[in-house]
Amino acid sequence: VTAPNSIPFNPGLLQQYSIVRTSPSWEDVKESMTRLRPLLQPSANPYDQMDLDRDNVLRFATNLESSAESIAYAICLAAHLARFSKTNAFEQRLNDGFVALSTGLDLSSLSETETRSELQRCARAAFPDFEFGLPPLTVQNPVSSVPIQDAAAEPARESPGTSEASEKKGEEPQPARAVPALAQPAEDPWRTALESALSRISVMLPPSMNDVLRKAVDSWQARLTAFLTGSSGQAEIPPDIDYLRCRAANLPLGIVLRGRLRNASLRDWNEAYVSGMSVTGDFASLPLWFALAALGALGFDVPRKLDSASYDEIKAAESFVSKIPTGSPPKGLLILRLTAESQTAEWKISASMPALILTSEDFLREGKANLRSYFQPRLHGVLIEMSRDELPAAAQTRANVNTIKDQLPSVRVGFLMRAQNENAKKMANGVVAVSPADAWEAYTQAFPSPSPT
Amino acid sequence: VSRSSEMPEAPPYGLEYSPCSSQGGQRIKVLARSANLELAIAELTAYVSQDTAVGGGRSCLVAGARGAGKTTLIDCACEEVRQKNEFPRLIRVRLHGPSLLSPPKPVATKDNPTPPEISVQEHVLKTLVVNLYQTAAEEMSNAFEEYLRDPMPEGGESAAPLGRIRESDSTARLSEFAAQLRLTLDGAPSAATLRYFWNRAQALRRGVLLRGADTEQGVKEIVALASAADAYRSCTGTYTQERKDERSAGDKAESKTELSASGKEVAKAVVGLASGVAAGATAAALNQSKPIMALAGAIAALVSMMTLSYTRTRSRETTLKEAITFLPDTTVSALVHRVLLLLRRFRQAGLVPIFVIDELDKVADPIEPLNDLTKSLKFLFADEGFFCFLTDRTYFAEIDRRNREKSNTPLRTIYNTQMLVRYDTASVREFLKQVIQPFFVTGTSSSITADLQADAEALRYVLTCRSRMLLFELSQDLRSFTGTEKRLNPAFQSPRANLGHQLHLTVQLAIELVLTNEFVANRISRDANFAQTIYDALYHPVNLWYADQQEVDCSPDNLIKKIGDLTGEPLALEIPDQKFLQTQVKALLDLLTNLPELERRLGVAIDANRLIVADKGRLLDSIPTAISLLKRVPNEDNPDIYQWNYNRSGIPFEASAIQDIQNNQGLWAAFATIAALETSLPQILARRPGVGALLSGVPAALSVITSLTNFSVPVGGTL
Repeated sequence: VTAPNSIPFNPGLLQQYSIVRTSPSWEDVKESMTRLRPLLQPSANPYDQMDLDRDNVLRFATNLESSAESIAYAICLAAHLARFSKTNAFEQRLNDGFVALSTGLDLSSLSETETRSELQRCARAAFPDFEFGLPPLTVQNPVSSVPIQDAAAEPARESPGTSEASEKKGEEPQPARAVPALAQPAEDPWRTALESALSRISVMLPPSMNDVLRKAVDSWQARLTAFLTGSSGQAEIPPDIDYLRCRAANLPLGIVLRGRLRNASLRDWNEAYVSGMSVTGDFASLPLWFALAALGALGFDVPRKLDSASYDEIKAAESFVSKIPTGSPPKGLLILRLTAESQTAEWKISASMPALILTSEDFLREGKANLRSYFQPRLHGVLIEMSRDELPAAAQTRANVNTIKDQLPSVRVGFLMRAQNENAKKMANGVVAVSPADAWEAYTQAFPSPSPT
Repeated sequence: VSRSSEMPEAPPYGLEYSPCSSQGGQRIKVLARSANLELAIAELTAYVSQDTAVGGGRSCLVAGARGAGKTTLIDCACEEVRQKNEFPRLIRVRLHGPSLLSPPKPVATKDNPTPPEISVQEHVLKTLVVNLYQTAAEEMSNAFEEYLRDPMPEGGESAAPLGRIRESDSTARLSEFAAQLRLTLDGAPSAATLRYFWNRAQALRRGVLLRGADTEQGVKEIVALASAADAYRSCTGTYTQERKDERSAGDKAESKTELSASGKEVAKAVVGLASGVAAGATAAALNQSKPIMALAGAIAALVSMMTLSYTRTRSRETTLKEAITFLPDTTVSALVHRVLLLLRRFRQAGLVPIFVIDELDKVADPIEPLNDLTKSLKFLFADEGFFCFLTDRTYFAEIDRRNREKSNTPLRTIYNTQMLVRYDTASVREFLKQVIQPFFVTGTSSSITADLQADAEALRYVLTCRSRMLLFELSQDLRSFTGTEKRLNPAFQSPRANLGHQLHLTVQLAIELVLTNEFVANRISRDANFAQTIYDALYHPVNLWYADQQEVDCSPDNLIKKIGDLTGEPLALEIPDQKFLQTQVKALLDLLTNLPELERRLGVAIDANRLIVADKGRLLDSIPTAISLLKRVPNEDNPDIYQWNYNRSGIPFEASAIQDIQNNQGLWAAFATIAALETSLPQILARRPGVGALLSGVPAALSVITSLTNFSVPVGGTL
């Protein structure tokens, strides 16, 4: 394998990964720098937006300087996480590392200071006993003032147009005036320190995958327990390095949910339920208690009596459930969504109406545990989502409604429509919700009368 | 053909402006909520839904700065009440305040060379009548058209007669018939003409306003509309002063009008009938002058005629033989009673007029004329009708002052409700949250959708700042930002990336931060009038910014004077209040002079839930911390002077000379840092351990594996 001299990477990607602040954008700054560069020439012409270009450059440099530590930590962590990626190409593995880091820590939701402290925390966890000792990000002797004639004579820094103009206009010699010249990047001590750190990190032995998985499971259990039991004011347990390693390796423990559970959506929790219930046989699959926690996060109570689960799963689930206090949450809805383009995709969690949203295949699939008797008393009803031109009868057939009714005999069944369709509404006996904003609105539209107790 | 000259296609995602929301399949206009709006809705609902037998008018004084949203507030309240109360139905009668308080000069004629002056009261009452009729006629013709188009009228006299019309009349003809009524109403037709239309539409019994109404509804509608038309004719001077009945009416005439296009024949007949029963018990009960008695008699007779004609008895022929002379009485007392009568008639028919007297802030010195008017017509303004007076804050302050001076002023009893229109930033943003939303196609990446959400949130702050809390400005701005269909113009990420937007976002966040101050929040919650003054003070620097005034003089005297200029009269505040205001404005300005500190404090406020934002990271990221937006430039005389460095578009007030740029050492240092990092990053990331380092542990590992591969377990020999 031949190591490349450089790979395609620019400061814009640091913004894309939310490692440095996004404003001003790298694209704008690059253009500003292109326009400003000719001003190094003594006979350069002023232009309208040079003030704005100056501000862009100053702002961007300030951003880089204040995020210098974040950049260094991020590069080291991405290089470390890249070792867990399963792709072949080096650039792709590095990209996987950056993506796992940025999305796993949800950096876009953090302020500049929080980003730095989060990256520092993870770097310390990944590289214990390692001192980075980074100097500030400023080039050594960044501005070497040179006489203006020298600066103008330097061909590498000339702009073709202005250079020519200066030759034509240069009858009168300009008075010698200090004009800055660009410094050499190689002289940057920040870069030297970072490269040294990277060299040492690259030869470190990676942790064993079993250890990573075990620790990731432990921290997930702690995080979910804290989320389900904690009050809103309590600080949540943040994502840890093992979660990020699993994420880079594309393992279920790293991709099932966002590391910051407060940012997890209705959809995320529903997917976590499906993943937790799925029997995959994979050694890295999610434990059953993920599905139970997902039900709790959706607003249902956490199931405590489990049938048909394997002994190990039951034991682990019971241990998890024992830490969650019992409550009396409201009844909810089961929504059998469409496989693609579901109108529920953007719904938010409704505090007053828990909603389990999944495809009928996922609901009917034999999972790790049988929760039929659990759902029966906890549902106001089942709503079958209809596609645009579908009729209720076809939707019922597609959703296998007879089997659903067998499993949930006393639960009412209605439909979820995208637009008003009087004909379809009549065929559905009016038990429909039309383009509701959330589960609560769906319930009030479809089941205006309370469900029988 | 080169495509380079064409506009690039817009991406399938962005932000959209949806002024209406969907509720249960119905499109409903989204309103900016405020305590005043809720109060107005409550007052209107109470008035609209009160029993017709129970009197009780209300007058609201709605005050606010120009563009504060007074008209919008009343319009929104009326709209919401209309949506919630199908019957009786609220109708909004708009009156132009400046015209109302300026009666026209009487025109001298040959017969009357010195006509008397028209009093304000007479002019007001006539204007009320004219506008009331026009609004009611429009409402009724809309209802009529809707009624004709409705394919399944519920509870009509029977589906068959309407069905008969429908069989013979195509949709186009039905529309034409509705349009014919609309045009006829422009000429204030007689009761007979109206009856012709209602009869033809089979709506004589159950009317057109409400499905499932009682069997008197149609008659009530005609009575109300005919009474108003009659009054309208009187007030506009088009009424024939003398009219005699003709003997052409009867069943024969009525059958003819079934085929008639205009209903003229029946019109004449019914007017004659109505006029013929002039001496009515109603008039006697009212103890009114003769013309009023004539009118009242006409209305009473009309009702009885309707019933009779419906049953087709011959008794009507005997009543047709009488004739009267109708002389409209336009004296104030007669007009007052006529207006009162109309209000009752309309309420009986299911229409509840609400009078909105707008633009009073454009009347120079409206205090005394308005006070005189409201006092003289108090029993109309406060006891029977619902009147909204939309004025500026000067009038409001004056009323407030007088009420404070005397506990029992007449004004106190005239204006049941007095409200100063103001919105807080949270309610404006909540409104914007409902109307500005991201849109994207399925499959759009989560990073783009998150960016869109952040764009929407940032744009809401930007618009709030740009509006300076004036709803008029906000709605203008929303219109100017809205491009094709509902799509908003700002490009993807530009609400957070464009410097002009960033500056607005920053200023608005700074204002919000000041508003979260415990003392400020406390004053705002306790004193609505002072709350508005706090907002005025905090937006004062923004107003200067918008006037391209670079300097912000924050000295107490100047600040109070400028806020007074905004309200139209000097601001009378106690010294502690003046100091309080100055402290808050200075706090705001100091925050804007140090954007990194502003960002830090915003972060703390957000973490403590004092400020609620959806995407703290992206929002705070958009604050241009590296620039100096505002600087403090104290001088010997005044330490409280600040200066904007950038205008509201994000362009520096003082443009640099090229030498400034060339000699800016910091700039070129920054330039070098960026250039160095741009070069370094790809090289740093490409670093990989050398082959030697990479393979350093491999030989040992290989030997272990090899030894295990060749390892054989002796199992012993066979026995």
